[in-house]
Amino acid sequence: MVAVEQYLKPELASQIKRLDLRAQLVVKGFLQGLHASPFHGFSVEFSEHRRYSHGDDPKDIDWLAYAKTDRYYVKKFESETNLTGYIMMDTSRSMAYTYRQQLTKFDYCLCLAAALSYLMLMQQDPVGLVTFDQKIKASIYPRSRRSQFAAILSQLVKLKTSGKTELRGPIQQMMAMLNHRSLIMIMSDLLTDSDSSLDAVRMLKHAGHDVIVFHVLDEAEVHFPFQGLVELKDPETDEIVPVNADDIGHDYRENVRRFREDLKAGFSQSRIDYVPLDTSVPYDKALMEYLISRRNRF
Amino acid sequence: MTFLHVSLLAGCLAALAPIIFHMLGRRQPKTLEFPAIRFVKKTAVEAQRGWSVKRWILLATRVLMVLLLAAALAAPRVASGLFANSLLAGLLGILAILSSLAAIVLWGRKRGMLAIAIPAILGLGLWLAAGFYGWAVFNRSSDTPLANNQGPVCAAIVVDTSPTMGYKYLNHTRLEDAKEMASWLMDRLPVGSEIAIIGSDAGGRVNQDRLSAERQLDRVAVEGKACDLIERITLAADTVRKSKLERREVYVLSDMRKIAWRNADNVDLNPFITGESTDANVEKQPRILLQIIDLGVPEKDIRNWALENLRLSSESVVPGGSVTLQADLRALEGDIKEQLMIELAAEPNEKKSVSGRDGQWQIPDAKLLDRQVVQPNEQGSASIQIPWKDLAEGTNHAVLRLARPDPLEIDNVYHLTIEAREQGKSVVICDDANDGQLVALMLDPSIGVGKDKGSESANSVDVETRARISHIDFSKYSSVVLFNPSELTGDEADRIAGWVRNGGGLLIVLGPGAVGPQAINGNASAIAAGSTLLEKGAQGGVPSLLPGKIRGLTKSPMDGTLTVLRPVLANHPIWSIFERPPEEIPWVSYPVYQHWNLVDLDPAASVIASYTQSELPMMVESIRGSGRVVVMTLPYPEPSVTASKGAWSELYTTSSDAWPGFALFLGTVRYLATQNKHPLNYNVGTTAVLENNTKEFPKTYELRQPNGEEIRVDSEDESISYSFTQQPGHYRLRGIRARGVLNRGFSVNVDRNEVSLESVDRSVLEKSIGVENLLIAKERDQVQSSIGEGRYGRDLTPFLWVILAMMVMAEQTMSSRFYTSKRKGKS
Repeated sequence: MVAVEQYLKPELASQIKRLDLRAQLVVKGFLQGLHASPFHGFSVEFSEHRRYSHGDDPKDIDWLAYAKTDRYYVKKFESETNLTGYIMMDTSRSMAYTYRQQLTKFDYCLCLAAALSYLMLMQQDPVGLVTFDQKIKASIYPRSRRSQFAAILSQLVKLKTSGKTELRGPIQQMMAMLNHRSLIMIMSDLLTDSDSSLDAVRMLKHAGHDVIVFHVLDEAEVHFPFQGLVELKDPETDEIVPVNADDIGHDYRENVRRFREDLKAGFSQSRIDYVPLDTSVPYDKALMEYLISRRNRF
Repeated sequence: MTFLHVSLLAGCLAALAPIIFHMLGRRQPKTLEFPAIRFVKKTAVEAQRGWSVKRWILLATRVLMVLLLAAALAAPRVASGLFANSLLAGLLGILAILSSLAAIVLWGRKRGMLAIAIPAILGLGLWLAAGFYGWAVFNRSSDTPLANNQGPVCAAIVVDTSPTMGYKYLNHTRLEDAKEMASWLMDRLPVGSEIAIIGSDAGGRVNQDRLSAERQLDRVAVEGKACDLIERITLAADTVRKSKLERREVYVLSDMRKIAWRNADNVDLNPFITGESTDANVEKQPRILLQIIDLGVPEKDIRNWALENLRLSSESVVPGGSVTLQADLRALEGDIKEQLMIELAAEPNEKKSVSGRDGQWQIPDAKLLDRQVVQPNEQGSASIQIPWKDLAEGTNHAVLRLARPDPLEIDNVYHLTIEAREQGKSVVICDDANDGQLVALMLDPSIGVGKDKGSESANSVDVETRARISHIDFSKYSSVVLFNPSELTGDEADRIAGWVRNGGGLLIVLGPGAVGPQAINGNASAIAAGSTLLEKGAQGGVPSLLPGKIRGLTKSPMDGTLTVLRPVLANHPIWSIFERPPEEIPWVSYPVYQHWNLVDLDPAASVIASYTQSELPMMVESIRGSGRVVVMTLPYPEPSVTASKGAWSELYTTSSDAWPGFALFLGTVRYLATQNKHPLNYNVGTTAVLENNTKEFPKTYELRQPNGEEIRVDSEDESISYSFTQQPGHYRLRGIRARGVLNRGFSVNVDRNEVSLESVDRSVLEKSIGVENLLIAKERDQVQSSIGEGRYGRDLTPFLWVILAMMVMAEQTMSSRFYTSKRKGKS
């Protein structure tokens, strides 16, 4: 298990070229660390029986089925099976940034998306994919079939970063696509107007959807490790700002901290899960956030 | 301001180099892609302005560094007096630069107008102040000597010879230190220098060679009078200004006592030093370097006891007589609880003691006569009284001194000279010949014993009547007894008064004759009314000789209360005849029945004895010119006219018990007959005069000063005058007359007002000499440094290097923020 955890580190996971393997590695390694299965719920509408697996709550065991079949079965409920997941992935140019030249924010989000997709499909939840910059660029309708994972992966590997970051437009488009309560997992650096982003995400929440925001920034965007005189160029607007990094480092870090604090406060008010990440943080942290939010919700 | 070489200032052109390098060498910052630029923008825009300003500040710093380096290498110097102004100008300049930079930075950051205006206005003010002081430095230092001037100097060394220069500290007197310092200074003068030693207030002679100056310096001695250093400095300035040498320096070696600088308040020495004159037509003289060298003892180490206020009961007595010395002891500083011992030591008075066989002076050693232990009171003072008894005939020299020496010895001792000689001839002037004979017999019992005319003693007594006053040759007599006078004409009184003013001693014994024949015949009403002849002749006659006015008689009351004599001035030499204190004489055994009332006394008159009941004076002394008048307000001996009317007192009886009245009368006449016309004890600097009757004394004397120098003095107008009494001590005169060698002399002491250890206040010197010109040094290092500064100005180079070092550090700090290292830059 220790070995697997080591592989959860982004710099190692990135060495695995096949995205499906990466996802499996992350998810399996992660699941082995859990004492309880994430697959449980409260729905009163019985759906079907499922073989008991290690980690299931014993109280869910259907003892009548056991008496008949001499095997352990647990009951599945309708609500669990109907949770539809959407992964909204930001593909703007800013997502292609990396300071250490190892793992871009986009790569980080790819791994995260793959892992989450795998995880949801593992529990037979339908999951779909939406990519966007200023508008939705591509989408895969959510399904719970095993082939869905391959479809998502093939879509993910084809993605290229371009355009500017914009949340309002894509989310409005997204809302038009949704016809029942879903889990929306947004992965973006949110390097756009924060108020606009908040409003847009709140719209999703108000529409009855569960929303998790994975706010992914590059390590350098959080810690600002530059020194001396440098010219900083915005990849989305090509704007250049000459700065003395020593002079503004502190102020910059303070600005970023405040930005994330504002977002966290804004999302919390709307009961939206906000997961601030940077590329130096292992994926398991992201998954932990997701699963905890799931557990709290049910 | 001067420089090592002006051409070195061309190095300032190198200041262009950083400007060129700065412009050419500006590196473009590395461009990095960074998506989160929105968080950088706001801060960066502000920082960008500041950074741009800082870049120019860095450039200015580098330019300033180069300028400072060029200036430091040029070794700028300013006159010592302008050093403070130079530093102040530099400091103000730096503050002005900082304020200006602060204003620029704030402007770059687009702060509020108020925030920018405050440093801007402050900077402007500082620039103006720096400019003002800079102008002062450049404008006033035009005549500063060049740094490389090593030519000869005309130097005057002023030596303080005040009594306090005899203060001994670390086994050296201040004067010894001064001489040592003067030699050290002379050693350091360039070859070919001229030296003047100013050790007295008169004359300034420039010595062309060192040896002459050394000899002149050796002769400088501590004097008994505080010198006037301001006068000596002006004399020194005048002396060096006459020299043809361009560089002129005056050194003052002093212990910095206030008494020597007493005229600093009144005299402005600036024109003497700077050579400037208020008269525009007078050409400006070259500047003189004035260096004061403080040889004073630290205040905490000063210790001194002093004998002060010496009072002699008399300066002349009859042989075998005695005098009483009174003085005050004062502890100026130090431990006043110590007991001190006062000694009286006198030289044996032997006629041949001062001159040996070969004519050399042989001063006998003083023998200790008396010694007293004195305990000063809490204020540190004490009074002492020592008798000097049994003085031998002739001139007696003695010293009254502290047994234990203290650092300043000059005020520990009093030199004394007392003359003991036979009283001169006396004359008794009396209306009644019998009374006159009686008085004469009392004064000279040998009268009528059958002596030869030729063997008449020196103190013989003549008797004359009032009618012969105009015929008496008073110059023959040392004293006159005017016994029971009744009336004198104005001319007669004037004749006697003139003789008194010339040094004579007059005793007026008032008796019944003062009221005239009527009163004597029993006209009591005339007596009660006080209508005496003495009062009537208030404009002349006897009253003109009296120190007060007669206002009737006082008679003893009938209730049996006794009126007796009471001594008032117990230390008066008249009482010295008694050999014991006059209070111990049984005066109560000799009641007084009546006496004259002498009132309205002259303020200068002193009452020697008074009456117990009436408190009116019995015996009064007054000084008239060089002579003295003593008045007795009752008759002694009793005049014959009172035999039928009753005695005035019991003082005069024929019994042997009546010795007190006789002794008092005899002592009074002796006192008057032995008084000198001129004093024998003088203060330093005063002219000493000795009476010299050439019929009796030699015309020419050899005078030996306390320092051993001898000089010949001649008698003029029957007196010897000597003015060069600068040294305290005994001045001895030796003359040859028919009867052999005659030794005479007088003493000179330091006026204690001239001995003060109070230090002069620096502000007083600054006022007189000027703050810029005042150079005071104590140690040799300081002197060397101070003289160097005075000659060549003060070097600003060290300060420039300090500022340069600060600029380098500032430049390093700023440049490290602008240009990070490559290792960091890569990141």
